[in-house]
Amino acid sequence: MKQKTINVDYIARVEGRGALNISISKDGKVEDLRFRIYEPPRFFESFLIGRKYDEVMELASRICGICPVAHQITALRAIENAMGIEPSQQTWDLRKLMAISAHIQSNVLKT
Amino acid sequence: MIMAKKLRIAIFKFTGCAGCQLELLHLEDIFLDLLELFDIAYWVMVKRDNDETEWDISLVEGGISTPEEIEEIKQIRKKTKFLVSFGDCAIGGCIPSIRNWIPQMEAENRVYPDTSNIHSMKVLGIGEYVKTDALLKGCPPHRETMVELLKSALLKIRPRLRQHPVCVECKFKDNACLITSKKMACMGPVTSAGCGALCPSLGRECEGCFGAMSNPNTAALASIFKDIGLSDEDIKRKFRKYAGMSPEFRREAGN
Repeated sequence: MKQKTINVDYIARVEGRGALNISISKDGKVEDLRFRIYEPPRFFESFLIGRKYDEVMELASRICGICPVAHQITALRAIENAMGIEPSQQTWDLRKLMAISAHIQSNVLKT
Repeated sequence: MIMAKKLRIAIFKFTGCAGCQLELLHLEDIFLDLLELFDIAYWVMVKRDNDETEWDISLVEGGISTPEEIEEIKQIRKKTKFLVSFGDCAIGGCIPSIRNWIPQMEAENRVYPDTSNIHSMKVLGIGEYVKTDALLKGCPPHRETMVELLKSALLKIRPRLRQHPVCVECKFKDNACLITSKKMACMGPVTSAGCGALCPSLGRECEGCFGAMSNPNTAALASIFKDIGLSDEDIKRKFRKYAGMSPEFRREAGN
């Protein structure tokens, strides 16, 4: 077996920008593997400071256009934790339904 | 009818969330029709083999926030006939632009313990660096505006992209005004239409995600917000959100 290198400059069919470099030795061993994410930072943690509590969910949903619901629900939970709010079972169920729906939508699109 | 050569289309992503690209993919029911009319030459998120020669239309998503991105957008401009700022990030940085008013070092230090690998600058729209031919407003743009743009490209006519406020769409929908009837701080009167008054139709105030309409009276709306009970800081936050970099909203949010 020959020594081999695999270079992918811009990984396709995923969201976000990343590159992959693999070098494989003569006996088939992976010698070096680099996964480089060159997605530019957007500093959500930084600019959310100073925003109003009821904006956080809406702003955090823009972290990812593919999975906004996960970020939305998580942001909502963070605000509730900070304020000591415990939502009702019905609210939990509705959120779960929304999260699962988002999964289904996302997976249907990909297949 | 003899069909002309398919238009070659490319989709690029810079500093953004990929939501605009996804919205294009969400044209599910007409997407296959589009494939008959357009040749998707370059779209890394969706396909493996991408052709980098040249394109009739490039839809560019995301703002520009690194030196590499400046070079890339210039290259794309050279190879593109019709360049579209695809969504609010490409137009003016959108939500990530909120940090443009935080000193860069402070913004970085709040997030990363080691900032030596961060090569980030203030996030600006692609129009700061290259000439753009059309703006698709929205976070994300509405499917109808995308289809309008693509159809116009095929017909070689200027797309009819709306410049009026969200209020007009509320009137079409017979919505009671949230400002006058419920004293809610709705951004509809200064925000570009195109969403079909999505939020106000559900009883939620418009947050301005389509950016500034043409020639908005921001001072009048700010004064109404004040009467409703919003503080100066609240008003500033309202205008410095999806389109804080636009000259129209800077009038109220500050430079």
